[in-house]
Amino acid sequence: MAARRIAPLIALVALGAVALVLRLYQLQIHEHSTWSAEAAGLVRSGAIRPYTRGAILDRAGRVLRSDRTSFRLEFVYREFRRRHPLGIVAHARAALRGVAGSLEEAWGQLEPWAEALLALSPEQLDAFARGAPLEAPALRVPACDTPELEARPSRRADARFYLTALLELSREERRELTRLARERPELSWLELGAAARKVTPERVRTELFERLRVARTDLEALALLLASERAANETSAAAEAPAADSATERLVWELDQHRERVDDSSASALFREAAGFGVHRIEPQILLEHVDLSWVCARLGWDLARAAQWLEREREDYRRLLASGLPERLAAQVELDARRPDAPLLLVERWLAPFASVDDLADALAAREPLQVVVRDELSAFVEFDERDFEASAPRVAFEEALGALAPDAAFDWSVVARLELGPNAHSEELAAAAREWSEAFDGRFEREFVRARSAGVLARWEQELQSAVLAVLSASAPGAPGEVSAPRRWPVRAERLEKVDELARFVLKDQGNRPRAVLTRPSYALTHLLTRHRDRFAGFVVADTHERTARLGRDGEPIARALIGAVGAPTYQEELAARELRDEFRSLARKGVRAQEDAQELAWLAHTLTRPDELRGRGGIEGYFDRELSGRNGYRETRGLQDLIDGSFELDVPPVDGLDLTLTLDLDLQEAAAECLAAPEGPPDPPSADYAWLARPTGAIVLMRVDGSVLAAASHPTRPRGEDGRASVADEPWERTLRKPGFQPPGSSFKPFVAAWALDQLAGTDPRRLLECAMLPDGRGAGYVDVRCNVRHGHGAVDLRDALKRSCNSYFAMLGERFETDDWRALAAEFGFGEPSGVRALGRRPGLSEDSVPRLFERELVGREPRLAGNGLAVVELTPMQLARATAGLATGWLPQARLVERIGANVLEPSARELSLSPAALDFVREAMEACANEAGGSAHEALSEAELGWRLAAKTGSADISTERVETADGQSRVRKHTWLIGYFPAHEPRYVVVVFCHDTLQTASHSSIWLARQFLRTKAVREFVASEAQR
Amino acid sequence: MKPLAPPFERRGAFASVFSLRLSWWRLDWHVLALALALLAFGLFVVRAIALSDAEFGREGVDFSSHLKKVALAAPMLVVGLTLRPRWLRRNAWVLYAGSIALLVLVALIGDVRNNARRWIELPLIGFDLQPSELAKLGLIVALARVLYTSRLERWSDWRAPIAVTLLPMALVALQPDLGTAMSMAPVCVGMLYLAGAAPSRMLQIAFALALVAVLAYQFEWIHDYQLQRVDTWLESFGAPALIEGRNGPAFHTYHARVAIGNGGWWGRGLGNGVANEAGRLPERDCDSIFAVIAEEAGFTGASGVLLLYLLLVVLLLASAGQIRERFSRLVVAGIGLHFGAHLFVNVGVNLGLMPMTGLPLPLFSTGGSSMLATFAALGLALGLAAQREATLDEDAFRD
Repeated sequence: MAARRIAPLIALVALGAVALVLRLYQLQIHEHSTWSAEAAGLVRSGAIRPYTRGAILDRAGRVLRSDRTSFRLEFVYREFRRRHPLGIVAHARAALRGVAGSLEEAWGQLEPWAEALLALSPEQLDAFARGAPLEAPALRVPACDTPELEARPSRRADARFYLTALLELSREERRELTRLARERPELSWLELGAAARKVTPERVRTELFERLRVARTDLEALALLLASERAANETSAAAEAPAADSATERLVWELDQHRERVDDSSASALFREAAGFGVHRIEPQILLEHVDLSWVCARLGWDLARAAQWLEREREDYRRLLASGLPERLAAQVELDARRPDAPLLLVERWLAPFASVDDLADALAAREPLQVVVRDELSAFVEFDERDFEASAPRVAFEEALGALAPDAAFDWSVVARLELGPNAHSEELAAAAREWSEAFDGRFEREFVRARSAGVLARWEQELQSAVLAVLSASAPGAPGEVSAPRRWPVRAERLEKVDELARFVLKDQGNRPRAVLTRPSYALTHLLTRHRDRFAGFVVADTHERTARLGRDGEPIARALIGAVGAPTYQEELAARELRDEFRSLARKGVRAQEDAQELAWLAHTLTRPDELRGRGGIEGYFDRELSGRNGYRETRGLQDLIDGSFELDVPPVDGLDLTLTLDLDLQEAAAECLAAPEGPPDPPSADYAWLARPTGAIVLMRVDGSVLAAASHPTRPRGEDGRASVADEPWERTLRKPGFQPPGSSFKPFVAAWALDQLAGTDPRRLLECAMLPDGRGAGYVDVRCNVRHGHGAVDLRDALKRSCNSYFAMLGERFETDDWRALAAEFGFGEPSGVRALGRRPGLSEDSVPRLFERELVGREPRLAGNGLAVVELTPMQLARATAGLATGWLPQARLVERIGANVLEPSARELSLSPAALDFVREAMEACANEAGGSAHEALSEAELGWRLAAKTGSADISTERVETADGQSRVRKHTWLIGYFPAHEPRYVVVVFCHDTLQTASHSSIWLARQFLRTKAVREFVASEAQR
Repeated sequence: MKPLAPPFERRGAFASVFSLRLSWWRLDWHVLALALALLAFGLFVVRAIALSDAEFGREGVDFSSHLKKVALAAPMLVVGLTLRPRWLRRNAWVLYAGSIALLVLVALIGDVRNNARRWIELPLIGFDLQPSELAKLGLIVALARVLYTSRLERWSDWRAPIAVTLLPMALVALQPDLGTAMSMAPVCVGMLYLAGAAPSRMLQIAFALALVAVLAYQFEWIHDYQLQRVDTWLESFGAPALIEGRNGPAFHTYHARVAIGNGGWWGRGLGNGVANEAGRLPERDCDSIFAVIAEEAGFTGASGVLLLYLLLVVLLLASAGQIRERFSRLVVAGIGLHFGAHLFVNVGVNLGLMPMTGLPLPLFSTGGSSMLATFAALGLALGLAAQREATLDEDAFRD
């Protein structure tokens, strides 16, 4: 019998074993590739290895901009609530009361509350979990009949955790406490802690109070440090804080804000789980009136007011997104496809995106059915919700039209877009006009702003329709027993959804609490040291590593050459969009379990090609223009499990390639000297002749250049926006004025040397000895020529060309200009590089380092008095300081150089280049001699400030003053003057030209002789310039 | 017909319980060697797990603690070996009552972990007692005692064995620990079959059990998490669905499947599997230890372990077949089925053939109570088979 029965049993067991082995074979052999791929993904961890952006150095190798590791102070709320006495006490109490408590309140009652909590016994907590009331000093929780519903068991577990944490026990002591709590549940937590540590309760109590005192002191010290650093950094991070008596109160308030944000995010995540859509999708008022939110309140210990606050915050964020962020992004996305024939279709698709899911869209297109909006589908989360109710009042019109527009075979035209935008009741004229506008926005140059603004309008209207429809449905068919008029008519959430919420609640709270929130960027060394060396005393406060681009600051605290060098910034949304596809490809390859050799190569290539989301890219100036060179290529490193990390071996290691350093031609000292002179110009020594308003609020630029085009200094002022007193104008904007021309910018008489040189060489019949009588005009209102006034009221008398240059006689140059044909002007401009880029953008067309080259200079025929004005550098002539500097170098040497700002890119030297002028040496010599006289002979317009005696070397110069307005303003010396730009161009040493200087004073009331020459003098007499010139001379 | 009382002289209290004059030549040394070999391999696996935890700085398995449990449990092998069959038979109800008392006690004073009350803390012996593990053995002995005198010829004969079976199963299921409770079922069914139950009735009972299981699922008579486990099992049988749901309820199943599938023909080598490296496979030193073995020893190694384990079960059943005394035969067979049931449930769960449930693999898994019960069971099986008490039981004349 036994054997008879055993044998089939053994056979059955054997059969089972065969089944197991077969299944094992299926998994291990047949599906091996699938699972090994998954396994590889599990242990593989990859990390982008960021490159270091190239530094920007001055000509001597001194760092002007560089990447460096920095720190950021972050706050992790979960750590704080679990490990900081304040967090522990506040949360222990909140857990027992079942109401979210504020840290502010706990801060005020820290010691008594802590003592009261530790006076509780396990017995009391067990009774509390069963629904009994909890009576303790400053803590009363009433009895309840439904302890499970009020989550009392889990609240007890939380409270036990916090109480144990408050005692700061070792692992063994905690175990002992747990054992003791079971054996002697009548003892208080304080007594249990004492017993676990084998000390007296009094000692535990004393130590607890000492810990709380230290926690207070530490938090107060931290608050003071934070406050002082924020004040120093001018950070407005805590600007919203209400008036607080002390820094500590402010910090505690901030921590409370973080706590609320964590709760808000958790509530939103739970709501999404329960309802299937984001809480922001429905107006707070509708939710509060028509949807049961008690389950959220119960889980987070909120009352309805707090829930309303949460709803409002979330909705406000969404409103902002809908009004600005979303249209902005939408316009950027559409711009990428603006040239595609189906661009209108893509536009409508993107309008619809916030209102319909992709699946809905595809289904509706396939079935030619009305489009369903997202919220309708998800309202099924509510008990007894009938989708048909929604059908009747859904915002169908706009969406059905949208569907028609999206139909694959529909003949699409812009009137469909217009109809969608304006709605079904729009007049045909309005529709036609709108269609035309849309068409125009996409035809020529894409009008992003138009698309953004109009899309914002569409989204706002549709959102409003959606809210009305949701409200209609929810209020029309809310559940409630018939006749129960006073019963709350709120939609409850389905029980199974709430079960899911309960499953997730702890995870969500943990997840949200673990997300670091920024507190302070660049904390000081003292603060960093404090928080990293005493981490246990500042639980929740974390110092995280970060990278930043640092700028060398001048003596004024401003970054050297701020506008010229430019800045860096995060990738724009368009750059993000462009990188998205590659990034997806990269992610999918990184996740791929088993990779072929080509996959690894592709991954390495993608790592090199991709930009990191946190990567800083050049935005303007040299940083922007040379971004490709300064940017390196990211690397990628992949490890298989922790063992690889320990061993230092890598499965895939693509090293990063750092960006190249840029060595500029700028000299740090000269640049700073120029910036300082511009920031604090001294003006002329003769008080009445100074424009004090300009001196108090200077605007201008200085260029110092070698005659080979290497720019030694290019400073502009102001470097930050001014006009906080409401007087903002173009003069108050921080333009890079050496290269830009923010407004009308004629060079005035500084243009005359070029006119003279050209006339002498190219204009037949020009006799430099020919005299012109600079006399009073017939109208008696001053000297001049025909209709051009001279700068000296009674005229210069009889002047020849040399005199006219030296004394800057407008009459003579008006006469000379009159003899120029338009082609002469164009040839002159071409000869000296006017109207063309100066050369600083050496690598062609790229964004950044913007330059106004005035390409239309002399494009049209000069008529009337224009040639006479052009001869004086007025009205029709506009130049930048860099163009003038370059042309002056040409005048000084006979070779017109390309201006250059960068000497080397990495190891590659950018050689200077120049072209020889076609003008005869005689003509050039004549002008040079006149310019020398201008600065060094009595009567010369620059003589007073820039003579050899003043400077210590001989300068050849020319002044220029150009009226920019006809409005007359009374100056300090009682004169009535017009606004003008003034200039000084020059080169030195006069007989062996090596350097060119251009000084530009923007919008002053005084002439160059009372403004720019004095600024030039101030600059050229600085220690930096003197030492530089002396050291170069010795070489 | 009742067996005759042996006409031997009266023994002392100790000698009446334990027999020190064991016929060593009768001992199934091959069974013992096989069990010890499996235990030794299990120790290597646990050591590899502990080493990987230590290496990666995880708070995980402590090998010395496992060794300590093995050392503490090993004497139970001797206890089982020397226990007199007659004493065991006479005191079967005492043992059963003791195991039931422990199950009741755990319901009253047991420690709650992961929402289940399954453990009684025993700080002095270094591990917590899980009475359900001992209850399995108590059930086998008690059922053997019932079936010793019952041949299940009438329906009324079924009452006592069913009651004896359902009581501990219900208490364990209430903890709740449905997996352990269900693992008792195949043991009992097998013992009933061996006791002479008609195959047709067995089929009827099996059908009834299956119906109850379907109804329990259909009408949600079981806990939500248990329902969810069944749903997860049904939904994630295939690879794509399991991969899709890896971060949800199928987390454990997914990681077990990845580990097993990653083994291939020859395995990743001891301590080199993804289960140990990533450390994400839950309970990899206990309920999921087979996944670790399968990954690190590969198909060849895992099949080898399976076949050796199967051989142990077969040898125990065969050994039972050799015993003429009915009670001892049923106990030894029950123990063989106990090992078999654990093997099939544990491996079946890891391979995805059954819904996820936590059941240790005796001789491999860590866990003091399981180790205690395993050694006691093994000792009992070997001892009862070796002692082969003379009997005039009617079964002794069959064959």
